[in-house]
Amino acid sequence: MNINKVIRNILIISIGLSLAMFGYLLSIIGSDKNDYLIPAPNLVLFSVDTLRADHLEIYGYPRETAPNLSQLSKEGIVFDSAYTVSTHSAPAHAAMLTGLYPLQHGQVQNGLALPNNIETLAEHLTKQGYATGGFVSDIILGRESNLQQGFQSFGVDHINSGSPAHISQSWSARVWKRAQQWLSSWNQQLQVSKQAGKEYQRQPFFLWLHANHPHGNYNPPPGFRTLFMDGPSASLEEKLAQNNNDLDKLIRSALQNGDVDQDLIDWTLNLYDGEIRFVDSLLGQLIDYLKKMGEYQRTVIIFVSDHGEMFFEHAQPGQPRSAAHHAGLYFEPVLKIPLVIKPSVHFNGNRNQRVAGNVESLDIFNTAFELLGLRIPAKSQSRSLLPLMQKPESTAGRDITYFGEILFKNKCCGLRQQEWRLIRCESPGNASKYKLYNLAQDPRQNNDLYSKHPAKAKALELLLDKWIAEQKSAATQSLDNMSEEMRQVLEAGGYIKNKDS
Amino acid sequence: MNKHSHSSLPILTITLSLFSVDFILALLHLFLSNHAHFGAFFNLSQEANLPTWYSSFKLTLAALAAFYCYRIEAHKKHAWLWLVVALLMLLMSIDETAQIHETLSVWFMNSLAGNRLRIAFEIGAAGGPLLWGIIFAPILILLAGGLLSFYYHRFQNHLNYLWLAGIAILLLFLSFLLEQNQANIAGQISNIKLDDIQRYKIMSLFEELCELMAINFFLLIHLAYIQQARFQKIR
Repeated sequence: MNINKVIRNILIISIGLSLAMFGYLLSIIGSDKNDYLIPAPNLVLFSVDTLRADHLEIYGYPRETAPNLSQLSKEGIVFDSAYTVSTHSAPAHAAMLTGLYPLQHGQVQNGLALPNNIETLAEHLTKQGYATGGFVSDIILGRESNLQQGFQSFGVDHINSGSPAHISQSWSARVWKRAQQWLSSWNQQLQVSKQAGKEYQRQPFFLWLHANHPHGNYNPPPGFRTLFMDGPSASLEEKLAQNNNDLDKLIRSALQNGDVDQDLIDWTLNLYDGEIRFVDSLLGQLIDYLKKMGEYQRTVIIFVSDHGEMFFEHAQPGQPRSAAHHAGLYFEPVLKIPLVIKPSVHFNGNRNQRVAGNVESLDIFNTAFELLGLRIPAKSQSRSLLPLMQKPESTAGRDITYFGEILFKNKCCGLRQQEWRLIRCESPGNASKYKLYNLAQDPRQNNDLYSKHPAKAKALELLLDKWIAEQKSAATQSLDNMSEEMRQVLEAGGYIKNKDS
Repeated sequence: MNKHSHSSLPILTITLSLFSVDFILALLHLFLSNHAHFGAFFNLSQEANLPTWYSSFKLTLAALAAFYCYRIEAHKKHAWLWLVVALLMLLMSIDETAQIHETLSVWFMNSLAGNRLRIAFEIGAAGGPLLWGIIFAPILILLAGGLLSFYYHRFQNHLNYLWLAGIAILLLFLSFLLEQNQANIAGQISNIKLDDIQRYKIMSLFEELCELMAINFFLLIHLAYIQQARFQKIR
């Protein structure tokens, strides 16, 4: 055999195999030439409690309630039609952290715990080598909720609404301080590695920061109370004084007496907007801190709310929680939430874009995995928003958005398909109650069309039944196990009625 | 005859010595690597310890032997290829001590690309750096092909040497496969079991033995080639 021919063949085969392997590796790590060797992205989930989308400038609000968010949105993607899957904070957050609907993950109302067998984003990311820290400012999301699953560091700061401490201190600010300390410690470790010439050993982080403002009672810290109004009118000030300066009490009393006037509404909105501005200032501090750390560019920031809030739109005398509240109020201002995603430097797409298609809060889960370059867990019900982020002009969002939860022992579910919204509440031993709205003609949901459009109602009922049949939570939990402190908070917040609920 | 026996290399003794030391290192790993204070010094799955130093030492010897081969064949066509082999062995020796490929792997694995690679191979974060063989596969394949071609070219009339060179390259490939298996075990660090740790330890043993023996073969064929060249010169 010709020696040279053999050698040539060996070399050709090795070069061929080498090139094939190189191509294979390139296909795995992606075609974005700019992101190969940039350290893996960090993730920040900044969730705000009870924030209505339409009280933000990025959704057309005239007041400058969130300048930092507006700035962030220029570097990210704004979702115009994002919907929550629950009007309760704990199930809504659990959905974002698990990629599952409440009827699937089992935490169907505030006060219940997320079952241990459900894997959270933090658990997945911890396994993938991420440093994980969660800091929440509401006991409802605290250790009893079991949402701390997977977080290496977890902190809860909760001060009862209306307490002197609540007024003088800001719980969200305290949570931010905790998160800042955690980030600082992470950064110190990185600096130590750098000094040892081992920066390459950096561990990315996942931070979940939950700000309880602007959840009622609306009590923005000093400096944010009179940002948009000089103060309450003289008559309102007098009424407030008669109610120990407790706005919530005044609203209840006004509803009871049919005495809700524009002054009360304006001042309530002013305080709510002041709280938003305060939370936005925390977002600004977070962004500044990330920039100071040199991590801003490689950090994915997801800004979202768990649900919105109603403001007297459907206020009913004798039902104080119908005025400024959210639980069980299945209206657009509560179900529609703000969602902004600022990708890291690794993102291959245009920024400062808007996505019109419908998305759900649980879609954050899959999106986070994709943006971090990780594999999406198989059991997820979430859908990655990355394709929409890369092609925002596409309207291919979700055809149907759903919600489902337990409210005062009633199983309440609903869906929205195009302009139609169907809501169903089943109470044990009673027939289900339905409501049907045409949001195009009646965006405020004043006219229940259930009996007028039986065919449409039936078609949507079938879709809802099909969706419910797919939710297979085996969780059989009871509120009887919750702590007394949690019970008091839930009762005060109107999430449960009394000890028998 | 006397003159020849004085100048000859004790190949058999060297062979026995090399494999004996490997065997001793294996025993030290098996019996001492769990020791709280100096276990790491004998642990084949760790770096910067006795086995690493020994491995590096052998590679340096192989490089020197290759350089000597170049000196012997300096007048021949393509003799410079021996220099390339010597340089390669020397670089491998430096890498063994300085842990260059490990450092580069950790750095790569902390990037987004590293995340994607680990996910594609279903390896957890802890096992990521062990995927260095995958990261450097295109280069390793080229080197293996190059070495095979070189030895084929040089040992076309010495089939025994050629076989040994082939076995050495195969052993390195086997070592690479075992290391990927180790990555699988280390990657499931969150739910790793005692059995897995034992399996990992055994796997480390075989993987490092393959590597040590492959280096032995490279060194031995270089030495044997020198011996033969000198023998032919004397004759």
